[in-house]
Amino acid sequence: MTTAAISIRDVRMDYPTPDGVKHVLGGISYDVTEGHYVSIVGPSGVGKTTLLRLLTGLAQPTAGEIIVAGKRLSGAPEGLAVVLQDYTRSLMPWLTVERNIALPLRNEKISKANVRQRVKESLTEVGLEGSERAYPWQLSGGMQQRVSIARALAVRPRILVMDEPFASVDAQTRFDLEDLVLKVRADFGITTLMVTHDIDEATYLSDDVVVLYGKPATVSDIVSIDLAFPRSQVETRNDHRFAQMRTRIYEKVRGLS
Amino acid sequence: MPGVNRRIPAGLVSAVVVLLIWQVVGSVGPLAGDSFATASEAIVALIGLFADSQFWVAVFETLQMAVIGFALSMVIAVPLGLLIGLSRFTYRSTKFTFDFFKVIPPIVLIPIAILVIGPSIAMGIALAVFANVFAVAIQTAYGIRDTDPTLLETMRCYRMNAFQQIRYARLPSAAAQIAVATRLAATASLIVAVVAGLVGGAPGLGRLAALYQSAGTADRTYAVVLTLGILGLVTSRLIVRLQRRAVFWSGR
Amino acid sequence: MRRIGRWLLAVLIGGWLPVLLITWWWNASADSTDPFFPPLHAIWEQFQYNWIWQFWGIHVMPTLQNLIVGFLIAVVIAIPLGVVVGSSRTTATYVEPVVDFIRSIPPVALVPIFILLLGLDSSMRIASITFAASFPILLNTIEGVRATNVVLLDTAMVFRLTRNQILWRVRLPNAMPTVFAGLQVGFQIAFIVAIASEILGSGFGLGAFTLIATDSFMILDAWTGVMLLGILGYVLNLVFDVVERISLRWYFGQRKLV
Repeated sequence: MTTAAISIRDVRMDYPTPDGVKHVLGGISYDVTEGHYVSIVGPSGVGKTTLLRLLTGLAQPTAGEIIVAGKRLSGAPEGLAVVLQDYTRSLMPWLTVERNIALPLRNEKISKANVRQRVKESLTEVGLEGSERAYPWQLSGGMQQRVSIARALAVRPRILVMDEPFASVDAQTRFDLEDLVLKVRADFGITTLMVTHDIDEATYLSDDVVVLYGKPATVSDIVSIDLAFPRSQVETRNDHRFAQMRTRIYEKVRGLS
Repeated sequence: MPGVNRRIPAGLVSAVVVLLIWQVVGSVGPLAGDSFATASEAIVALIGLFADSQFWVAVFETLQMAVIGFALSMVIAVPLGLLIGLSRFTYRSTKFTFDFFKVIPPIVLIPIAILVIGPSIAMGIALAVFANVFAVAIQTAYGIRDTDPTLLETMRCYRMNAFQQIRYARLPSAAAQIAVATRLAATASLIVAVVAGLVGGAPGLGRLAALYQSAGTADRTYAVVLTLGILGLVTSRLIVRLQRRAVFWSGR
Repeated sequence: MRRIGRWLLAVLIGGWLPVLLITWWWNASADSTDPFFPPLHAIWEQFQYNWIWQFWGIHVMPTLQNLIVGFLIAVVIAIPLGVVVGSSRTTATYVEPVVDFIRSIPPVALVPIFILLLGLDSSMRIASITFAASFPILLNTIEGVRATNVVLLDTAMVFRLTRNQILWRVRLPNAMPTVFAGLQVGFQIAFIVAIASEILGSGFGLGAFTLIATDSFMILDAWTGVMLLGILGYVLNLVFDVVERISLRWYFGQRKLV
């Protein structure tokens, strides 16, 4: 049995509001297998982003604990990289692409030459070689999100967390980015958690899909996607088992079963 | 927050703290002396001024210059701006000239104004108009030009003519810019009224402050300065409120 | 080639009106006997005489020196202070109302206070300029530092940047456009207070010169003073704009695309 990369144990999250306490997450438990790609789906507002904030250490759960690499989480853990939905606001507009990617590397003891090398490799991996000197806002939306992914890769993370990473780009670009993410998975095998509202996308990319549902939110279902890798936009999505699993997830998200 | 009642607004707390510091600094230390008024002296002088009719006359004169100057600038500048903005040629022709004059602070003109108009309410009004007319006109013109092109195209598709486009799209769009310009013009008018008095000898609180300063009465000078601060604050808050109600849809 | 053509066209369109106005003024006043509105050519001659030959060093330099020194001191005090205050939400909530109030006082009205304290010499001028200019700078710096966008901060925190790194590499660059706006306003106020402090004070300086000329009915000199002040005001503002555009290239580049 592979050790869990992340272990979520009975996590609850409450928020104080002017009219009392709001119970957002009620008892979430799940173990993320090392090297797996896990999508977290659920209806709007159920608490997916809240869970993500807990996993990245940006917030503390009201009850329960999250174990990462054997240690209880308190604050941002080491070896974690994040890709957020709003790339225009998560990349620093006053820095070039190269400097943006290099920024998180400052805290690691790496020589300047190595940093430059890593930046180059990351950009090549995401298909943007040669754009070191551009500014983020000079690039298209899809390219900016690729820079965001490159930044995450440069850190050589053990865990990659993504919050609706493809929601702000157009459909065509979304397919390209999805396949990019699959390529990254094949090349590096990083444990990945992705929050998304797109059920098709979740089914296409993941090993497991976790459905959150209810007020307070709990794990309504865990769907194992046992479709073979490598996956393809045309064949995998045409597979009847894809449709079955997708439908099962959809029904859970809508509370129909 | 520990130890602080949430209901007391932060501004009040800081005001009290600052007054205390002011009082201490004025009583003991290098600044203490006749040329510096402590908080208590200034406040006492202020209350004394409230009983002085000369003070209220000065307040009225300052407000008179500010209000009339403001109103006059708007009456001139807004129609002017609307006309300029309608044609691309007129806008681009006047932009440089207006930008040049709008940057010049009215204090620069005071020497000539003293000669030509003389230290009077009229001078204050003229300076306020000069201060505002260029900025407001150009801002209005910009508002007309800056109408969302998608909006205009949609109207054109619905076969609405030029007049309708102006009335239903360009004017409301300009209104948002006019609102911003109005707010700036209102505060500027008050400042110019004070400058006209202080530096140019026009009647009002400005001149009063200069008078008290040259007479060496520090407490009254400080009292007038406090009054000006209160006036300035009240004016800007009032304008912001009015502006929000007038152009509620623009989200400014 | 096209770019030069377009630039030329822009100059023509923007320039024909001022050229027309100046020409009209020149001709209309050519034989003027009005004591307050002398012929423009006479003003122009006096202008050249005063400012190119005579008084640049005696009057213009002191004004510019006081202005720049006063402004720089204000910057050096107000920006660090603003960063410190803006970094803490509670401090900002308490400090901002007071700063806002003092800022509502017409800056020129502060000069009498400094005259009472310091007399009429250049220390009074610099003190007035510094005091008046620091408030808009302070206020804008506080705002700029406070308003850092949440997504940037979250990303920085997940990537485990230290508090110092977040301050210097995220908050401060993000605040630059707002701080610059404050600097511009502060500079304009510094200019106005510089002139006011001279008119109310004594001695040398462009404002003082113009006032004395007015009092002595030396109309030509008064006009030259007013004109130079106007031109200075415009040019200094222009220089400021250019510096801003260069330093904030990323900000303007980004906005152009939105």
